[in-house]
Amino acid sequence: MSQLEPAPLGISLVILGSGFFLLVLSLFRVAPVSHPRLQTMRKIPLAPISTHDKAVLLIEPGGRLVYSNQQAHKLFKISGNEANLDRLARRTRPSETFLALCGGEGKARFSLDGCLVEGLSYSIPSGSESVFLVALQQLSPGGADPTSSNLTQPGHLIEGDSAVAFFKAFAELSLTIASTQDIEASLAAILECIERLIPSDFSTITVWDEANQHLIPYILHGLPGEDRHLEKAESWHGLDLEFSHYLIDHKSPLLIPDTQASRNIQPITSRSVRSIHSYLGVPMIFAGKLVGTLELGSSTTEEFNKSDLKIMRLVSDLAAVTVYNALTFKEEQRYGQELACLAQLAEATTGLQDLNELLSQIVESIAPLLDVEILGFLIFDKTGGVLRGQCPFRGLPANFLDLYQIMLPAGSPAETVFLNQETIHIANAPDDAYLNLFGFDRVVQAAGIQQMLLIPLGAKGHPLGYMQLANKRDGSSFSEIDRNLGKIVAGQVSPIIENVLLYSQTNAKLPRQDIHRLDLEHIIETSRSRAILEAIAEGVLVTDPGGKITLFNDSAQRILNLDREHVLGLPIERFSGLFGYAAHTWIETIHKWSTTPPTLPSNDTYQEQITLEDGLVVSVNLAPVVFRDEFLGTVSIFHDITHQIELDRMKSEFVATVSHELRTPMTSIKGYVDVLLMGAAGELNQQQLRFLEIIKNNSERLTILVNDLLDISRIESGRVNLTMQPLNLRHIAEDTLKEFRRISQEDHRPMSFNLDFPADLPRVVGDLERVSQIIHNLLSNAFYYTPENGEITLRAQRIVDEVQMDIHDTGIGIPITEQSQIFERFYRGKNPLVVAIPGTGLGLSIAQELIALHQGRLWLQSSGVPGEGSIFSFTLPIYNHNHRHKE
Amino acid sequence: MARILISEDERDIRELIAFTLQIAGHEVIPTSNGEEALELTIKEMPDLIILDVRMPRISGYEVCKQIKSNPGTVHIPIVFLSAKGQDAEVKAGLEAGAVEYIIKPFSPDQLVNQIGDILAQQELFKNPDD
Repeated sequence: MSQLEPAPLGISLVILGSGFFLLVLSLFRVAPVSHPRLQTMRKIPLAPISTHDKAVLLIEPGGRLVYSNQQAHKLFKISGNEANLDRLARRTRPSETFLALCGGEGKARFSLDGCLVEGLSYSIPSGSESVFLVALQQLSPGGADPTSSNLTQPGHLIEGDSAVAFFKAFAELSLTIASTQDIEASLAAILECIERLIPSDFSTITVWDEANQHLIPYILHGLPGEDRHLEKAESWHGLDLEFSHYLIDHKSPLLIPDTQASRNIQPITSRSVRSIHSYLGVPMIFAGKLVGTLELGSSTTEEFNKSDLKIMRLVSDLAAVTVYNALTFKEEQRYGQELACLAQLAEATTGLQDLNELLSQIVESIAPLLDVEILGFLIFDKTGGVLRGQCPFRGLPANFLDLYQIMLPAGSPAETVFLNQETIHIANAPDDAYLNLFGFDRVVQAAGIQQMLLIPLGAKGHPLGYMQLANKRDGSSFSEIDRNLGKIVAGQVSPIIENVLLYSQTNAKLPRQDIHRLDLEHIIETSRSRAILEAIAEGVLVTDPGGKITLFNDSAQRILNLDREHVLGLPIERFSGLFGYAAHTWIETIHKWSTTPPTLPSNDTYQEQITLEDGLVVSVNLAPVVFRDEFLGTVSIFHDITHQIELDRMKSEFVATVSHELRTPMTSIKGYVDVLLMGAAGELNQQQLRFLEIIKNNSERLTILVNDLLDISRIESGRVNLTMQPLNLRHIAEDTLKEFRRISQEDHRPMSFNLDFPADLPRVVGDLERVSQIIHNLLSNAFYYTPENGEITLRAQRIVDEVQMDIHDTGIGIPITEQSQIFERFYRGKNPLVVAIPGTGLGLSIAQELIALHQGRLWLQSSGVPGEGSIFSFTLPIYNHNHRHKE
Repeated sequence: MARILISEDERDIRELIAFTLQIAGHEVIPTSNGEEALELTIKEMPDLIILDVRMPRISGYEVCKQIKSNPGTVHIPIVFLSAKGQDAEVKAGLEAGAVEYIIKPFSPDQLVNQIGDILAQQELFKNPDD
């Protein structure tokens, strides 16, 4: 990219403005008397310009008159040093018309001392404002002056009118170039301007091509006044740009009145169609940088003089800025286009897996950027040691590509060049030594390649092939810019091509070892993911979209006791054989995803415990990897949970053992107390009876605790077997109520029990024993936490496809703050009343777990106000046909 | 009244069962292990056998299976009385041929009632005409 900064428009206008003042100056240099600086013009009376028959006024922004010529003085009948705009205006009627003319472009008539005067005003940009040039001409009183129309028609400017003609041409030029960023339009405007100002036979403007270090000449085709168009000229009227090179070498103008007599430079005229006898040329230089040249030629001698040179210099200053800006603009556009192309390239190639499709996309994307006739890719085939032209190859027919194979024998110089990964630039195709070396000569001949660039593809040390560019469309040779651009593109496309190449090589049924090596090296090893995946403690297994294993980390090796080498590259089905039926579902899932890939990222995961032959228990979590709607494979995470399982088992065993061991002494305690209470061992007094009752109650409490602990242990280890059957909740509720009525009587705790069940309550599905246990646990809480003479109501109702049962008591209630903890194990609340009542704090927890096993829910409502009690509600599914079929 | 063989390694419980059954009017043959139980079953031919599951040397299940595999003793009803109360354990006991599985701790009068029921059924089975 160029380091040039675009010149802001402001700068060019300032220069244009200063050019204008120089222009004014130059006009007076044409006249016998001249003043080199405008500043001095303001102080010193200006000398008359005899050649101008029109009065000319120059008015600065703000209405200051900076210049007036002799004709003007004559017209206004004043001397030069009295000239100021107010004074002049006082003489005109209406003076507003005159002042308006001096402050804005246009044409107007007004009277001056009784005579009709016509004025034309031109705006000439100067800095951020405009300077107005006003040309005035006296008309015959009451009639039109035949010359008045001359003012309005620039094409008929008369010889002596050079100042006005110049200003007008210059103003038009500045307007044209200010309104366009197109370089050709600007060049045409410059040429038209110079043609109008200085008559010549040939005119050209050249533009310096920095990249290729040469001048590009442009000429205007067509006659003045007709439809003109700019054309790039191969040479300048057969002059081979000899003069031009003099201009750029010396960075100074060149005026040759007679080329035949010139000693400084002798143009090569042997091939010229028409000889040039006089010549005028100036270099266009902006900010010290050569931009191009502006040159005129004539078939007659002495055609150009020094005043022409001055005009040329002024126009070339303006042209230099214009061309510079236009070139910079063009370069910026090109830069923007490059960025857009590269972005488009990245977008177009994402996710492509077919090499030809990818290359087609790449060629399409970069072709606008690299303006060449032939564009394509040569990919190195390792197995054959050959570079192959890839289809599509822009500019080469498809059948040609079958022959486009460049052998690179091992150890050959050609291979060395290839391995060095250097850009190969062949400027003059038929004569280049590289062509022979590579065996390119045949291809070059057949394809008519004049010049080409071979830009290496692939990361350093991993050559993939070349991107080939040949024959620039504009006929120029490849520049440093082209090379750099090519390298950028090659850098962009190399990794994409590399990945796709790997896919296609994998599909081309390479030996297994190669697949696994390539997959690993390129898909995983090149990314940081591998390091991360390798480092984590969990075993990781990754499969590709086809179900082949592409990653198997150290932890996976350890956990599954398998060597990576025995696993990588194998289809996952093969893995199944290593684990037997235990892993069946897991592998089936991977297989299912690989054959009908999920395309949307989802939470579709799969979890299983696999018990291996050596007793190891492994939990496996499996998830599909979906990126941008594309299924990339699966990832399985292994965790050795053998120890965890063993701990669980030991805990369960411990609880079971402890429970058993507790039951044995309790059997004795409870049994002997019962025997004593039965009076089987003799008559007891009241106190003895009461004490024995206490022992009995507490032993019962212990029994319940032991049973609850066993239940929890079973639920935790998933060893609760439910025998699902249709259940009549009313019967179970009645049985349970009967028990509590008995307890109520026995304990002398009078309580009112109500049952509110609709007659048509459907049956539910559940395990009889467990549902009884649930109701028992909830009723037990209601009973024990409700003071004497309280009320307990069991209510049931159908809600959609469930039966909801509410156990409503009038007990002490549960404070809001404790309600979230009430289902936690061993939680018994903070109320001293509760703590005083025997209980384990396990009943609700067990009920909740059991209800969950029945696909139901348990919840409570309580205001926490004593006496308002609580409502515990739970649901059970209604028994239906589906359940019947399951039985 | 019936002759009931008890096999229970815990002395306290053995005596509790024996005492309870004796109060109810039954004759009790106490044993403290499986071998003894098998030996006395053949020798005494009791009307009913109460077995603990977990006993030294030979488990209750094994004793039960052997009695049930002996044509001479197959008719004797067997009741398990065990602290092992898990579903699988109860199931194993019933599959071994027991008519009832009572989980400890037990209530003495409940035990007496259950034994009475089983014996009554047994009588009915023996004398269907009654």
